[in-house]
Amino acid sequence: MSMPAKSKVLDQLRTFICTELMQHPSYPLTNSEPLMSGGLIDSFSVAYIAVFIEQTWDVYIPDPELTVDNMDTLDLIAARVLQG
Amino acid sequence: MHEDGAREIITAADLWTDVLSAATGLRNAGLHPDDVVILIMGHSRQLITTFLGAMALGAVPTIVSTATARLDLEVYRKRIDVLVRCAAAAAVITHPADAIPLHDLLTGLTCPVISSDTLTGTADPSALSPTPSPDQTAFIQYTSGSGGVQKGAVHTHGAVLRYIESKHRGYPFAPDDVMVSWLPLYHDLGLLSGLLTPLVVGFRTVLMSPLQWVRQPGILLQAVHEYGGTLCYMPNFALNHCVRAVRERDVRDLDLRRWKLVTLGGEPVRVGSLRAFAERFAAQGFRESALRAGYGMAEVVEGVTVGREGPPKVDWISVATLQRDARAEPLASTAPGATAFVSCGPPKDGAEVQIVRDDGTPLPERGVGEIEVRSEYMMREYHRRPDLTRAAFREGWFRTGDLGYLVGGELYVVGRKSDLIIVGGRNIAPEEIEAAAEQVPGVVAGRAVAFGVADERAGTERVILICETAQPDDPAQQIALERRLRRVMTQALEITLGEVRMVERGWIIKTSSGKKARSDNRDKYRRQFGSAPEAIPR
Repeated sequence: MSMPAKSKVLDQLRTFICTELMQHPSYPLTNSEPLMSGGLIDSFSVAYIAVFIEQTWDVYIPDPELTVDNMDTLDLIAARVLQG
Repeated sequence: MHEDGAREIITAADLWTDVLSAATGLRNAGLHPDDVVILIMGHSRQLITTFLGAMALGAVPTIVSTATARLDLEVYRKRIDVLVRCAAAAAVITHPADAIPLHDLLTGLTCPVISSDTLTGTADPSALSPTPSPDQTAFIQYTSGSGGVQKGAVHTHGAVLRYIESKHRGYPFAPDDVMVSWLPLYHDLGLLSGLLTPLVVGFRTVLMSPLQWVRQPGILLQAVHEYGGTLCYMPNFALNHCVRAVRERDVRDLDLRRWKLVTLGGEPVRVGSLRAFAERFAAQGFRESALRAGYGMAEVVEGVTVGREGPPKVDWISVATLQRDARAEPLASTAPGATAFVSCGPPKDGAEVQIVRDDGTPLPERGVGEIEVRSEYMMREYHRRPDLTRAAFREGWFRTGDLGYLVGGELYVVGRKSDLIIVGGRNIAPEEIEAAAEQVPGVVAGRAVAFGVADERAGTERVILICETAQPDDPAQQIALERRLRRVMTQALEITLGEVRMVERGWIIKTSSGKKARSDNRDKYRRQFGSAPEAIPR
């Protein structure tokens, strides 16, 4: 599967996080905003994001990489998705 | 199971040697029998051996959760400082491998802070206290209560052993049983089921890091497969978390056929959670009949009721009758206005349950009222809080603050009398959230209210925070304030808010005495912001 543009990945992640995880679709989430450490979503969400990434882009992120530090902003998550 | 993937096998003989060394080390560090020792040691072998070593010395251990990266360390330090003073602790023991350097952070408390690697000395059997009497304190289990008060349930050796015996009579554990647990040992369910029951009865237990399980829930199922797990105890939300977050490729080849008992406790059990879990893992050989609901709290060591063998019993009742008459009137599951509750089973051997009116008189079957419990393994008291201890009991019965009803001797839990919020088995006092919110500039002083609402997808509750502000209609201001509030809650209380609402001045309903009427505010929130009504009466 060819990788989409980063902006597209960011937008899909943003929609998923605001709608599904925060249940706040109109929240203006920025690319660099801390997700877990900013209290927007909890650390359980790391696992939900990993499921979403696999279903959407067929990218499997191994367990040891699923940490709050690695996934605390949209920018960090998108960069990891684009690594494939 | 260590977070880095390493596995460590601890035999009973190894454990005993380590416990003896820990007892000796604690004695050499100046600790004495009856001293309260606070253990903040993350997920480590040393936590287990120091906990048991402290009891072997005759001291009184209590396990406390470690700081996480997102928590404000100054706030954490203050929390531990308060606990040390309230518990009159003789020492705090930390672990050198902890991710946060707690030892340095906590230095200067009113008691010594000791890193477990400095607890040394050749294992010396003379450090062991004589066999304790049944009335001697074994450990203290801290729990969060209404008003944000930390309450330490004091358990005697006799109560803990009577409890484990009762549990064993109700469900005869076999020597080839294998417990698998992701629960933290500072939680009563994790301590009793994950560690003490296997140890006392004599079967294997597999312990993993709770923080790792949260991010990678598949490790629980992998452990069941790898070690032939037969038993597991956890709160309801853990079922939902596994269903939502375990990735198919992580479980495709697992065999869960040996898993014969998954007991749920720590928060209300939901029908949807049971069904979803059983369906999701049926392909791996998991059977719905393995699921069982229980009811308990730290004050009764762990549990007072547990469901009978077989698929969990579900009672469909009328929401209207429940809310209007506080009665659980049976109704067909397909009828409009029917809601379901899961049976938590009959009282365990040595325990009794009654449902009472506000004045303490017992209610007949299907009458909904406060759940009171009495057992042979009740806590002795709340540590150093005779006032709270007195208030907790009525004529020998422990007042749980939960609402429920009995049918055929089986308990159904429908909600809570108090405003306590339970998220994922963790008790959260709304007062703590409100106090933290009111410190945030932009929130009108004394005008924040917090409560929990059911979150069916997560299988637990979501925390809703409503704040009055001077500029409720300015979207930019609102978002800026929401960001500040969310950051404060996560850093100060490790709470992720489910929803934050800014409202105009005067929105929040207070009682005539000026107290916040949380259930009225919850109803108003539902009406105004369109959240689905909740069957549970408050």
